[in-house]
Amino acid sequence: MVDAAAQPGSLVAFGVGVHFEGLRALEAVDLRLARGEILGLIGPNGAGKTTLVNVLSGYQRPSEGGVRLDGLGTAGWQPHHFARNGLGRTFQAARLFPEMTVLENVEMPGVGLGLSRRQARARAEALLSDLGIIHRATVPAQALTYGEERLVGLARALALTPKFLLLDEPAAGLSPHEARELMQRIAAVRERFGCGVLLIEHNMQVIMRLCDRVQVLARGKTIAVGTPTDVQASTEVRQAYLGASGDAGIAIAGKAAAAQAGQALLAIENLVVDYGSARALAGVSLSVCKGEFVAVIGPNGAGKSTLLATITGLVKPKSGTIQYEGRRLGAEPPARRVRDGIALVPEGRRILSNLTVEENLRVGETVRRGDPEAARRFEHVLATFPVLRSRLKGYAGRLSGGEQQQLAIARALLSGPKLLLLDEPSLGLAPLMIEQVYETLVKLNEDGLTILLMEQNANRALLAGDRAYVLRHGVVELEGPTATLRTDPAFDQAYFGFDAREGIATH
Amino acid sequence: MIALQHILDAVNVGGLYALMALGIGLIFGVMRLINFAHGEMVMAGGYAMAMLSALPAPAVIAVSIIIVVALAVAIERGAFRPLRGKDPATLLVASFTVSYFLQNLSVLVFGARPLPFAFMPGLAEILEIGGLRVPLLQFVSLGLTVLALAGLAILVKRTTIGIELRAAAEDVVTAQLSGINVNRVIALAFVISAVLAWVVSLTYSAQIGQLSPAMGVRPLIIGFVATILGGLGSLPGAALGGFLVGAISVLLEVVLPSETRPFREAFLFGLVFIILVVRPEGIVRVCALQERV
Amino acid sequence: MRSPFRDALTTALLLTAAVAIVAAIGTQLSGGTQRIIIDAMIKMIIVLGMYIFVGNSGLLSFGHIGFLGLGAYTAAWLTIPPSIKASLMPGLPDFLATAALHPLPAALAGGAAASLAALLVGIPLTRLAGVAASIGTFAMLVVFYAIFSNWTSVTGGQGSLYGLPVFTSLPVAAGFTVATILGAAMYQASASGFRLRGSREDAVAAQASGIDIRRERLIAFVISAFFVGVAGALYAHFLQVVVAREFYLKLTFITVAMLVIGGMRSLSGAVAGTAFVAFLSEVLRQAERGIDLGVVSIGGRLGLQEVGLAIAMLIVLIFRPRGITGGRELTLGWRSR
Repeated sequence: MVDAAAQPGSLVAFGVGVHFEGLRALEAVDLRLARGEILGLIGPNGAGKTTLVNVLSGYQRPSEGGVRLDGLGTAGWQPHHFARNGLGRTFQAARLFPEMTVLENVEMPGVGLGLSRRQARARAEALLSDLGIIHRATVPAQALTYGEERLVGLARALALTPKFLLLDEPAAGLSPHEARELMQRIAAVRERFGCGVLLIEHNMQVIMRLCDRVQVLARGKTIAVGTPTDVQASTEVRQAYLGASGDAGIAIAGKAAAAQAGQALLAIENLVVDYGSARALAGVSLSVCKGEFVAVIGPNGAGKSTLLATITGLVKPKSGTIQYEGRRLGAEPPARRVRDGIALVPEGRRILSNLTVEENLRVGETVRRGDPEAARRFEHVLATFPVLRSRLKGYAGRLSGGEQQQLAIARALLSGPKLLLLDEPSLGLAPLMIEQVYETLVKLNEDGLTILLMEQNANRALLAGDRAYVLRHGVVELEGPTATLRTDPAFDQAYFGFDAREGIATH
Repeated sequence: MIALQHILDAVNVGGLYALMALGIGLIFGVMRLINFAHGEMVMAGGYAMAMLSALPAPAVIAVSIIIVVALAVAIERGAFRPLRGKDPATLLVASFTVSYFLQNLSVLVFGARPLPFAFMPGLAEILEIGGLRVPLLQFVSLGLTVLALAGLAILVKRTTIGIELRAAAEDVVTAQLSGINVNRVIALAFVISAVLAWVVSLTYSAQIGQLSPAMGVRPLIIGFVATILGGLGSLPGAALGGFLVGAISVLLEVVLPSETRPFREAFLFGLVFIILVVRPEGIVRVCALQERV
Repeated sequence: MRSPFRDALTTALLLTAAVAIVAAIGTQLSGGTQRIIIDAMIKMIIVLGMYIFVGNSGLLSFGHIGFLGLGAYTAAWLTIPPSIKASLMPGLPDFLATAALHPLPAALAGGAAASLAALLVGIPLTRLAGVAASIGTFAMLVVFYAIFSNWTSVTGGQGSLYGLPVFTSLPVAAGFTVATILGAAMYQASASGFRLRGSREDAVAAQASGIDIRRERLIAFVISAFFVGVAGALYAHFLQVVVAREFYLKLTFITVAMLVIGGMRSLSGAVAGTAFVAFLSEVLRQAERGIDLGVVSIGGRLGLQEVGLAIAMLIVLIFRPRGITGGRELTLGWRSR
């Protein structure tokens, strides 16, 4: 329990809880960041890291507990009050002022603090010179490259001359070289401003090198606090990231190896996808054979969701090809691809919460309406997910997380897919629920359904799948049969990227 | 007795507003568009009936419905579809523009001066029921409103297309990924809202007895109030909002001293303003519309 | 590095020069043409006033014509001779019933009244963002209109108020237009305007830069209402009558169209849009009177002007949603902003 009394010189969260409509995003989290310190905040996707940063900067009002900034109580404060009292932050997406020049972007916090435009501009120019991007001062922010965007975002946060700096995944999407440069900058910032830095980061290399202490969140709770080496050694932390390992609860199906030799249902060659100036996929190739269960494993921001969005036709690739059933996919809209047998269970489930369970299922049937098989398929799906049968007339929004995940899978199955795509089905589920979802998937696969699965929960996915790819920074780092990968020492390096050679993560 | 009369009035007026609110709410649901031009659907329906009044009544009804629906679909294709996905402010200005366009097109074609509305003059007949003097029109409009509300409820709740409509309103991407043709669903929403507008044009034109290019503005504005009161994006909310506004306006009529009665509209819109500020989500909250930081 | 004020001043001076040239040429033209130019200049003041809020905050307002009406009625209350007022507006309080001000202070009072109203409405309104804010301003317009057209003892209700002295000549209109351009440019370059534009570009990031968005919106709303209120007074002294129905949807549409067509994100856009729409309206108005092509004569049709304007507006929205200037400012080198 952190002392809630005034603590000048530090940013303190005490007993913070955040509840959204019954969902507990954070529970009784304490955090203390002293000036001059770099604290790493890590945890798997959905752990509540960004929510905590939002609480610390005033964007999210906590349902319980509170925040003290440099000894001041912050009850009733709005975000600009936090900023004016020395709290600077960056955002996951850089959130620059797109039509303003770089200089104007960095001028803004000075003006926000009440300086005249002339003073603020002079300060901004000095800062941009320091960071070595003064030559880009007159460029509109929307014309910057991705790496420049991140840097200007940092410059803008520094223009507040913050006492505390919250950085939300500053290295996400940067090349190893850029990430290294950024690390040096962050270290220098601490020296120069003497501010406390809270760093959310998935890049373990960055965390290990920079942080004095690391706090680990999982499912909205703190599961570990300590030095980087302690935390890295903690089995609890490894489990939070990779999922429970060595769980022999289910036998790995002795499935006919026929699939391996079979023809490819999906073949992706050299796929490149950009979001604005950011490259999400940088030449990904993978294939899925008929009847196969393939997992794509990778940390947050690796490009997994982008890969699925491209396969389903929501996003157009910049280059590269996707072949499905031996035919090249072009401009077919998502609805057409569903009809052809590609179904997606999206991240976060996206069930239609204002519709009943039955209506959700009917929506899933859209492309098979009038199909003589429809009634039989409906019965079959309900037999697979008996819990849904008892809830048919209830609103889907009332289901528990695990039930919603089952509904999302059931909905996808009703479109009669040949290829089932899943985006992190274990996200936010309790271990028992995760087990149940995976058992279902394995069974569906045994019945002949081809599955392509995106997961952060590596151990669980490696137990279920036939083959796996490790995706990082939009590049396939490693691939092979899951049986091999489970024991391959190269796996950790490919997944976490903390490797002495540093060559592994090159683009 | 007087109280009964007031209640009947409130239900009647409220039904009209509910139909307007539902028409606006349907389009907002699937497109996040606040359709100012919905009032002009009402106007178009009125003029269509007046122009066709030489034909037998069933033909007038059928053809005028077709005209209003065709107009709605044309607007969706010509103006709103090219703007889909643009920011809400652009959509708002566009619908304001379409409304202005149609009003003045009507000035261009029919002239600015009001025309008499003479379709089915028998509606003005007054029935005496147990001491209450009620125009036949009130019964007809009540019947039509009930029919339209029930029809809409069945369509939206019970049919496949209704489910698709609600699915698209909640999450367009999921709808697409389930194979729903979003273009078709949006077009359908415009068709339904046009039919609702047509019902309003029949009863409203008969009530005011004349047609003018700007006649849709008043029902639109009050429909707006109802939609916002009920919560943008919620159809039951819109219907509820409509009846509530009907009740409030009859209540204001009764309660306000006679010299302040003309300010009813000011009170109503003052109410909109207050609701927007105090409870922007309306009476019925819709989770799908909550914005995330 | 150039100073922000110098940039703004350059733009303002270029636009001012354009207005001065039009005014100078205008004085040589017929009375009818002069009236068209004056009308356009008053609209330009309205649109520039709206731009101060809309352009810098990114929130669309449908309510500013209510401020215009308030300015016009204030001018009527202050400048119509007391003898006429007694019969037209018996309900006026004494200090207004007996007032007989010169139009110039009355115009400033019109602006002040509009500002005061904006302050009162703005305190709750600025809590809203996006479309909700626009609907809020629309609600405000309806309330204003309902009051103007029904508070008969004070506003004359549906009837017209007459007896206003002539004041808005071409030089006066041009002078106020220039003053408004300079005012809008100064606000745009000011720290407050800069902060508000930050909130327009990204509200979340603006807060993280220490900006109190509500406060900045309120400041802009009040300043913006001032200029529109002054325009209302000038309009009243131009038409010499004040009628409630003038201050409603039609004028709202035209001024919003001017702002959107020109490009609502720049001062130059507000000016260019007003000039373009005023010119287009005039051409269409001529056509409305009928075109005689010798063999065929197309009869005049009421509504043609409005229909044409609406079509132009839709075309701009679909094909050039950032307006004809694309949100850029007029400078000595055409610079992106």
